[in-house]
Amino acid sequence: MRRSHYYLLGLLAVAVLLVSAVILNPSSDFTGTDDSGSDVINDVDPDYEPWFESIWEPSGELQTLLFTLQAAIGALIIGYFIGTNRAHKERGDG
Amino acid sequence: MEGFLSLEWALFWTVVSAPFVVYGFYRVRRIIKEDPAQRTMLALSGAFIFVMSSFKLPSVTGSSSHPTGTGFSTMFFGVGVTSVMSLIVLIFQALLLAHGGLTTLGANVFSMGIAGPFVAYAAFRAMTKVRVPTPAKVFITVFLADVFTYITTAVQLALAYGPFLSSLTSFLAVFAITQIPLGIVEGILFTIFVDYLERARPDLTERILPRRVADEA
Repeated sequence: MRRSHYYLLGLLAVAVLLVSAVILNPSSDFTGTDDSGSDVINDVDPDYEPWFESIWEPSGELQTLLFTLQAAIGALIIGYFIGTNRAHKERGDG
Repeated sequence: MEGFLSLEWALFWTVVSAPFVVYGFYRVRRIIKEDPAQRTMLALSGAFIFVMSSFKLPSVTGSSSHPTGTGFSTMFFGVGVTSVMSLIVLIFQALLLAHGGLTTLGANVFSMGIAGPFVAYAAFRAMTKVRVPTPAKVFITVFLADVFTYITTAVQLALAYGPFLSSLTSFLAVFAITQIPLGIVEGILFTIFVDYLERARPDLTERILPRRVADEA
């Protein structure tokens, strides 16, 4: 098997893991574990009151934007790295 | 989870994490000053943590959670540097996204940047000693860095909300089980990237992953 086939197989496994999560839980809204964690705290210690609130909480839409921004910052660096590698290789000085 | 750790616990985890972060800053400064090749790897390490921890991925348990992305940094730089990277991402998420939180920052740096990477780094060193092949080594290291972060979170919460053992079971059920498939996803992605990197830029990886004899022949 060629190396690129292993890569594809790996990516396929990733896709299967993520898609099966959705298929196996058709009615789930995929609450974040941070939220369900807070629910467990309420079960274990119903009297606990959080003593500090977030200074600022973005709305749902804005949150998506900011998470995307975070991903984009990282992806830009990784993409720049792969791109410069490729350019060096094509010029034959890599 | 802002405000969910009492002031005592928040302070405790901050104090425990601080020395690692201070040492990490010192390491980061030296790397930036001294070694351009390492600088590139440092940038990649941080970039991966930014990307991976921004994703919220669905898990077979029906909840979703964030991967940590810390395995790469752990492998190449160890615990101190990874704690600094985690701190930066956690501050970004606490201030801009109301995720994680400022009062829980110390505890989160400890689980994501110290405890998870520590277990993963120990495993990485052990596997290097007994010559585990690189792909398996990368996969296991990344998986452990991810899953142990959330096991640590469960332990931290169980300590704060006892009785310890019964709470631990509840918290592990939420955090650890959900995280296993995500750890596998993250493990596969990094195994592919490190394999690519070893081929494309062996000069960057050979400090940690020595060139294989078969490749030189």
